[in-house]
Order: sequence, then structure tokens, then C-alpha cells
Amino acid sequence: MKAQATGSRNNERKTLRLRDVVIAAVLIVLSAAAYLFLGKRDSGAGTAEVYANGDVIAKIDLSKDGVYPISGFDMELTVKDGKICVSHSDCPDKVCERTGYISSSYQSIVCLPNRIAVKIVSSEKSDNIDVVI
Amino acid sequence: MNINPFKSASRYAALTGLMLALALTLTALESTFSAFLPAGVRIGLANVAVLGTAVCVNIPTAFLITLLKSVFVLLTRGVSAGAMSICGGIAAFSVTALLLSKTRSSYVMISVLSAISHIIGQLAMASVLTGSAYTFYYAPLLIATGTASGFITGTVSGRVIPLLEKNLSAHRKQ
Repeated sequence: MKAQATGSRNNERKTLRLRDVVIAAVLIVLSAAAYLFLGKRDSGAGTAEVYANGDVIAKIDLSKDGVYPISGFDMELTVKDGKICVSHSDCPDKVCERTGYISSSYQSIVCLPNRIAVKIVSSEKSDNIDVVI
Repeated sequence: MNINPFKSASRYAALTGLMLALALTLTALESTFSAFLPAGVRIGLANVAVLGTAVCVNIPTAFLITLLKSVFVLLTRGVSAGAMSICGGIAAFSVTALLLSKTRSSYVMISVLSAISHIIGQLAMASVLTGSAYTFYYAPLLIATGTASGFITGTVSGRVIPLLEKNLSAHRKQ
């Protein structure tokens, strides 16, 4: 009897319900909106902070184009037009490289295999910081 | 502890092995074309195997598949990928198990919610590993794509699981 009850319940699960579509659509719209909102928020050159295992190991001024190796890691950051990307990494998955350029605060690039995170901080906080790795 | 729901022990062993192989194969298949997707975005086809196991075998076996899959990731892709896999896997499994046993949710709904919990579990582990909460910046994009891919895997599950379930029901213990 019990098996039969479970069976009919599972049989019901096959059918897509309107509720499912509505919930999925709401989730997609909300998260896509959040993504666009975060991406747009106060862009403009600031400073990128490089974290290794949670500690800031370098600050990079985004107003100066250049290629910055991360000391102690086989990784390279490239700054161009106020944007920064991981241009080289020895990690196997390359998620950090594929993230591409980021330019606004609340954006970050994470390289998990190397435990490296690059985060942009807004320009006001970083007036007196002038690079260097 | 015997978690075999079938009359025959060899049927259980073979089926569990088959489901694990299916989960690993789907993961490998998926990684061949995830290079064309934005960073970190995956389809999560292996969830079909885990959900299928939970429905057609039983929930403890699905947990076993989740753990073994993460062990495989640990061995092939290293400690941080393994830690993220296990964290995401357990979160997704918990949600799947809860929805299957307590609700009448459709496979699509189960897949969508388990994909999202998988993402949150992974990002939580990623924050611990990098020592920063900035990994959650990825959350909106991953949740948007995860919902879409959960919808796809849920639809696939709705087609595949009933067939498997029908074939196996005769072999269950009464």
C-alpha cells in the first residue's frame, strides 16, 4: 500500500505546474536584475585589492594600465582602461581568466585553486594609494 | 545497516555503481562544453543521476552517490574543488531529500531548488577558502543560470525517472 502511495506521488511529479514556471521566472528575473544592478553600480577607476587566503597582499591603481604579476603565485593581472582581469593563471580550471575584465565595486574575480581573490574598492577610499605589488 | 530496497543484493550493487558512473560521466560530458559558458556556470546534469537514485533506489543511496561523486572530484581536481563539491552536493542533497519526502513538488521544482542550494553551498565553501565574502558577487548570475539549468535537468528527470522507476518497481522488497 505504501509503495503504491509513493508511486502515485512520484507520478504527479512528472507534470510541470504553472507554479513551477512562475517561481522559476521570478527567480531568474530577480537574480538577473541583481546581477545587472551590481554590475552597473558606481563604476569608474578605483583600486583593486588582491587577497590571498583572506589577506590583502597588494593594491593596484586602476587608472594606470599595465601588467602586474602576483608575487608568490604564477598569476598575472592586467589593467586596461580602468578595468582589471586575470590575464594568466597556472590554475587548472581557469575560472579566474574566463571571468574577464571587471571594473566596478562589488565585482570580484576569484581563483579558488590559488586561493586568490581580486576585489575592486571604490575610488574615494583609495585616494592616497598608489599601487604596488 | 542495510539500505538495499531491492530483493537482490547484486541488483542493488550494480544499480548503485551504474548511477555513480552515470553521475561521473554526465559531469565529464558537461565539462567539455562548460568552457563556452560564463565562468563558473554549469548545467548540473549529474543532478539527474542523484535525483534518479533518490526516487528509484532510495534517499540514503542518493546521499552515498553524492559523497562518492565528491570523492572523485577531490581525487581528480584537487582539495578546493573537492571541498566545494562536497559542500554544494550536501546542500543540494538535503533540499532534494526534504522536497521528495515531505512535499509533492515536481521534478522541475526539486531540480531548480536543489541547483540553487548547490550554488549557495559552493559559494559558502568558496568564501571560507578565499577568506572573503566577495565570492557571493557571483551569486546573482549563478542563481539566474542555475534556475534555468535546473529547469532543464528537471524536465529531463521528468522524462527519464518514470521509465527507470517502472522497470525497477517489480524488484522492490514488499
